Amino acid sequence: MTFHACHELPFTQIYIVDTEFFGDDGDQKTPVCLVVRELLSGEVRRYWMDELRQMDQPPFDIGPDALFVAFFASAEFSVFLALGWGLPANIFDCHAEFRCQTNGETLPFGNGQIGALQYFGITDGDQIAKDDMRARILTGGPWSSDERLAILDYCQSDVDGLAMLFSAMLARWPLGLMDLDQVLARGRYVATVAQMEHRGVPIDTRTLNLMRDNWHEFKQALIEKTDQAYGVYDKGSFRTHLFERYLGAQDIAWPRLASGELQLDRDTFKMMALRYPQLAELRELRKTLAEMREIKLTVGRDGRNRTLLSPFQSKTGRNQPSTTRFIFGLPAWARSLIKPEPGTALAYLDFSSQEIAIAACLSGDDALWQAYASGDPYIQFAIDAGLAPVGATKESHKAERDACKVIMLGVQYGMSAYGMGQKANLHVLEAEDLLQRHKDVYHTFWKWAGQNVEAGLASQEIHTIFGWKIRAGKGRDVKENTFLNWPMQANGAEMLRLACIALEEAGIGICAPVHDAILIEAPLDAIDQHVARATYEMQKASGWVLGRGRQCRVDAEIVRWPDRYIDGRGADMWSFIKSRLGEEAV
Amino acid sequence: MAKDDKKFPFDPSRFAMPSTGAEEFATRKIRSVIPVNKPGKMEWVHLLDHPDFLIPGAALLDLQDGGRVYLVVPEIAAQLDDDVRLYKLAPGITRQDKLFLWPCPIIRPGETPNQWHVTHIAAFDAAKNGWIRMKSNRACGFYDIIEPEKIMPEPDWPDMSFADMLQIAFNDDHIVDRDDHPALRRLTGGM
Repeated sequence: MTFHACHELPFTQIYIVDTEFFGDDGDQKTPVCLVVRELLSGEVRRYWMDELRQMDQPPFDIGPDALFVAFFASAEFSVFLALGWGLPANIFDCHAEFRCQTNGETLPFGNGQIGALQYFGITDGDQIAKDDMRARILTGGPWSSDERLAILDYCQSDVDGLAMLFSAMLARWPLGLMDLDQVLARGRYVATVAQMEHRGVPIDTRTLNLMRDNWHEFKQALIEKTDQAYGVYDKGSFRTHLFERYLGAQDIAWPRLASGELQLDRDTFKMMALRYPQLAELRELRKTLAEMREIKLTVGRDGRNRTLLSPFQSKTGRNQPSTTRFIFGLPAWARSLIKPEPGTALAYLDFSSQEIAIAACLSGDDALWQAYASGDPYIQFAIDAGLAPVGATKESHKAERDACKVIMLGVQYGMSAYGMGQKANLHVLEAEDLLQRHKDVYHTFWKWAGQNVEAGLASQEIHTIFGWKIRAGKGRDVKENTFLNWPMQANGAEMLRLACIALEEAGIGICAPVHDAILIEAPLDAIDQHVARATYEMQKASGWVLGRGRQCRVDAEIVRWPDRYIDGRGADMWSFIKSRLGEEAV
Repeated sequence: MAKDDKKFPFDPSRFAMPSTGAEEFATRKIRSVIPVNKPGKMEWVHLLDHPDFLIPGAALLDLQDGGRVYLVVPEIAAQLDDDVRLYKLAPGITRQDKLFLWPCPIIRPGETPNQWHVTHIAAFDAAKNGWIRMKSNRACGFYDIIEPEKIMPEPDWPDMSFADMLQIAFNDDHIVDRDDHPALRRLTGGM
């Protein structure tokens, strides 16, 4: 059965919905109006904010027989949640589906609603007038009766456009029954995103405000303190010639550009700091200065960090929140601003070696799965490759394990033997040898990975287990490594989405998703129970992706009030900042 | 942990798909070059040991000009005496998936075997059963044959006939099958 048009879909009502709202960054949103069109009957209803506030449920069916359609539906749901409404059972998010269907293509008008309409040749009215109207809404009122009417008309025009877009999408990309299930699962995730955005991450606002008030002095102090070990800053600025001198004194061979200049980009610093741990603090300082010229973290009046999580924005389907507004986008030390509210605790749960588990299960490489299942895939690879004896451990064969870890992680990204050698402090020939051993031991994985690359380069569609897709479109610069790594990243993103849905629907409060991890919040006396349930749900979600009854391990770290979250990578810098803040920051 | 009972239980397992879908996109490597040479001293090699993939007495002509060797058909080879040498010729493959044809010298009747040839033949035979490396030991005047301490996986042999391999290795222009072949004219000073 395939659905080509809205009347064929297995729903008794299809509601196209748009809302208008306003609110400062970081705050929960204030509803302004809502317009809904029932697509099968054509009926349109418009509601202003005072009417909406009277309702304890949406003015339309959100049960299992109805379909809710919106573009970037998490925005509409921010209104639902602000009004205390439940969320729909069935959601078709046109943004998520447009991204899924066009992932890999060049979109001249972008992937917003206007871009999607343009993609189908649908014009969307006077954009300048619409921008003006949006600005008027964001003022938060008060609005005259004429303005109210104009705002409702504007909202309805978006609903009209969305109705055309929805029909065009169904006609272009008909849905089979399995496709529809996958679409609804993505919609269900969008509802979960809205809940996570609504909840936000608790921030120690007292410390944050102290830092904001003294940020310029802090930066200077950070430079002075950190630079004592390097001597590469002059008058507050990084100086390349001083860095050259430092590298010479340390006998560090630094990658250079074709011009002969030092390569100073973020990735190079990251790679070199891994190889030369003495550079880690300098790297953290540079990241801090680059990303935190000013503190843009968006924190609401209730002390919660909220920003758009931007689901499905990356090629892999991962969220792509702002790196300056989202607490987990900031340098590692800044995460210490996360602090549970009194009487509560936070827990950070992450999938352990998720990419290796996915690579093993999806490729069907049982040797690689055995390595994962051993609990330490890196030492197991060392044993399988003949570098360490059976029974070797992390402690007994640390050097071999470290080298094998670089190889196992590097192959997922298509890292060259040279790059692996650099990272693992191995001669390139040793790295080549290890890489060859990886190919020998995990040959089924390599065959599968090669098929993905070939299919991707040939602009064939490849997909995740639950239907997130990519196909290199015309004019795109295709890279082998994109398709080598995409299945692991995209299925990892999918695993996290499924986990978020499962947790939220199990009543566990998620503050934020973080790459392959989830931050949850619970009352102090319930946190252990919530962590146990969250671990169970995350493992179950991993099993949906991995199949054959296999699951990822999940690690959990609990932070109980009055402690704060600490990321080990930024612990030293946080200690320094805390000492500068004095006793006011606890 | 109150559950939202408006929703049906979330169980996506019924709409899971197998892997990435790329399995249906089959590819095949086209081998456009197959060198004819003994293994390099740094190369781990394995020989394809099958009677359908062996010329037990291939006459090869090397003009010693740095170019590729020529395969000489038996009728012509019989006329060339010492200018051609007989080899066993079989496909070998390196750990880096380089396919090549390995010419292994045959000791002629009455010829006093030298240690280079004897150990070359031993390496050729050893490579039928597993990976080896053949490395010249100039001080001793023979090849060292090195085996791995740990068993390495069997090679993935390409799905090709021996005739196809020979065709790619020699093309038509490196098979001497007529008296006026340019390689013979070069040999006799005729060009």
